[in-house]
Amino acid sequence: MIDQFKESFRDEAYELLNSLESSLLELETDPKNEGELSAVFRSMHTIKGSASMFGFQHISRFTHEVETVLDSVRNGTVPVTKQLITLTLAARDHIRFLLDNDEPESAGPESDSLIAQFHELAAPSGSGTIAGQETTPGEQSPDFGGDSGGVVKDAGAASDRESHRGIETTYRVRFSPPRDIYRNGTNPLMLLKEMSELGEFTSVAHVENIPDMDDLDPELCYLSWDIIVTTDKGINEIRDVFMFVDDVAEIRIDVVADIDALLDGVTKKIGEILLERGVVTADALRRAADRQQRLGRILVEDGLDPHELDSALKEQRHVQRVRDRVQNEVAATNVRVSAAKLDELVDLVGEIVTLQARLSQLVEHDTNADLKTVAEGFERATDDLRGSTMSMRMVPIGTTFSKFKRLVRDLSEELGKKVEIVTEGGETELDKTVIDRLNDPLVHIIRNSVGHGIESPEARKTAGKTETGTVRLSATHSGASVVISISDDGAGLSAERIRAKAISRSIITEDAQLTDKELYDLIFAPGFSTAENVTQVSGRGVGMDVVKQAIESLGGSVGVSSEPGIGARITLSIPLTLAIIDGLLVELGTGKYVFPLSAIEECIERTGSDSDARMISNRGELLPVVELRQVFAVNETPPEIEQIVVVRSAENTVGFAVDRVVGEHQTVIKSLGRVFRDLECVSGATILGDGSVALIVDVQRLTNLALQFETARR
Amino acid sequence: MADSVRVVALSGDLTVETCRDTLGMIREALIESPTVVIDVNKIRTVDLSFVHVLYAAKKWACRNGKRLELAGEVADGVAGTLCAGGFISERVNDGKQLEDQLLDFSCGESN
Repeated sequence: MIDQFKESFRDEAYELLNSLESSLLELETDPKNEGELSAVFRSMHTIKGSASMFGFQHISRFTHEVETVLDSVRNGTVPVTKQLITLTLAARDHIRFLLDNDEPESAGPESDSLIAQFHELAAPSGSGTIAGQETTPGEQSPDFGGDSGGVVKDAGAASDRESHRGIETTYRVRFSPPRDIYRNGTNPLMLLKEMSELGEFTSVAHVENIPDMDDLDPELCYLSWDIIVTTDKGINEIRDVFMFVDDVAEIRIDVVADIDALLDGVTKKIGEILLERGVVTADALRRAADRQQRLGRILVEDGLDPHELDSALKEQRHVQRVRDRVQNEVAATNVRVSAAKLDELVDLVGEIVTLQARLSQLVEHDTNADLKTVAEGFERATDDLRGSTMSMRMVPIGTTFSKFKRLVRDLSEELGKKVEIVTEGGETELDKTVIDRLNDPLVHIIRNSVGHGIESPEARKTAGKTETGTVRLSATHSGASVVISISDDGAGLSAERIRAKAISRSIITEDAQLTDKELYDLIFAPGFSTAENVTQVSGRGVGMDVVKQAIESLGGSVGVSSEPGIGARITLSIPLTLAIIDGLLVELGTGKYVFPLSAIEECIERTGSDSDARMISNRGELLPVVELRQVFAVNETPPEIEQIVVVRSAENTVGFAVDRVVGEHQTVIKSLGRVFRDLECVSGATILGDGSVALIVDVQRLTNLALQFETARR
Repeated sequence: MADSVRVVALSGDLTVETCRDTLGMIREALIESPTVVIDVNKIRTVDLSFVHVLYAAKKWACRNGKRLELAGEVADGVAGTLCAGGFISERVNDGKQLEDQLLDFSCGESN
């Protein structure tokens, strides 16, 4: 059981480390972004707490030291610099290493070295050292025995961000109306009512300024309020409530807790709230904390207005209440399930899909109407079940994209280039298994873009470009596939150099007549590399070949385009899922085969006159036709009218001649096992309703085969 | 000799239009009696001017060694206003509860 908890911690920690990396990279481009800074701090804080709970003491101690420095950054005593970001990224990598390797003892020196660097960074001359926590009163919040809660200082920026995300933020509004507010026709109660309509609301009236009845003018207002509201509205909507009195009333709006703080379970200590409100000084708090008694009582004894304490306590209770609600809602709506369990579920759903197909076939010629109705209902339910189950495995590709920001950052530094990465369509979802297998190909492509594509700053300047190059990573849905494009605004591919290299590597002959497009495609040939110097980044001549194989093993395709001086683009087309696909069932002799439906453009008939033609005319264009009978060595007599399944893969369109098209088929993909692992042109098998097996055609490999055959024939 | 306890029964809508009259009634009772009970049973609605009157009377009573108490059923409208205004943290049903709940309504803390 403990191991299970540890695994659960690891999973959570990996996610937090990914978020940490993204936030650090954002912070590097926008060092004043306090939201990202708070996110960095919270990630480190959460890892520290969980590590300690699950017995990862080394990680806990290490993150504690890093967190201490980050706290100083958050308090403004240590600036956000490139050096800090680099060091924190290194710390992030080190935590990852500790997690991966179960905290090996050998990691101690690396931890010490990093901690020493953090201390050095955080110890500017003239101020206290981080280890000693010496602070200047008023500049930094003292630690009152608890965790601080991520105060967002710029209420405007933070609140707008939260509002755009449609999630809740807790605000404090201090509202002091003018004495004669009734006389200008405004009822403060109506303003409070409007505030209460924005969300979860607590108001605390300050009655201490009401005089006794000898001095009271009952037509004046002696009251002021602290209003705490948790809302998904932005700060401007709160300001709008006070629109008609903001020139005569005193109104101050602060963010006291954002959704991240609530989810982290962090609530501020009463001392922090009072300090934020400006009703006590850091010095007074430190003195009170030293007395080891109830802080509130001591502060009141020392002169704090008890109304202020009461109001702060109510704010604390409000935030705790909202935090509990938010955490309960999250706990009630989300369940963490291991990927292995999901795989098991998909397997079971696959079995049900197969059984359902068999049932449908059995009742097809049955006269029992009730049985038919049940079978139809079962088919609908199976379809829904399949859809829901597959959607559970879908994860946004943005999680993978964010990793590449770090890759580009590190590569560009290594090569002395200036490169920024732009990502688009990160919300596009793909099966988790597909995403996992996309990582390495994408790393290869991006390394090539930065290494080969983007020029040095000097060369870019000479070419009239900005010194900073751009690598653009985008994802978008296209039918049952996702198209991922990696483009750069570098020098583009050189057809001449590719040709020369291909000849020198005997990939093509000297007299080969190839178009630029065909030359560009040679970068995917095994052993091809145009790099002048072999570096750690690229130029080993294996990258793009590996990419092609990996993408094709996913049932996808890869293409390249380029314009000299403008840039290059690699396009990957990937199926949404590898588990169950919509297929087109066809027959060849007595055998049955499945084409992935996503690849099919259309089906056309081939009559007797075209029966031997390797190319047929289709919609005014010549269409190469692959005789599947030959590929799969089918000897039975063909029908008079054959069908051509027209398939588009990457940038080629090819027809496949089959005997008969049976129709659409929900295809549960089964692996062929080790014996048939090297079988070309078949990517798997599926079980049909009658229990027979159909082979799933590997469209990409078949197309390549056909094109190679055609080229050789020419 | 003045009554030891005097009840001031308030009723209707106690707003800024009526606040001077309300204050007058309570003042008169407090001057005359050591203990004044405000019967809130028939108050339908209140606004902030009533809250001012109530607190001002309480402060005066505390300063002059007198008692000001609340009694009777509290209408929903009254409790709602006091709640929204941040004078009580939860709705109450009767005057005694209201007295206990009202923020800083005891002599010890308000003065």
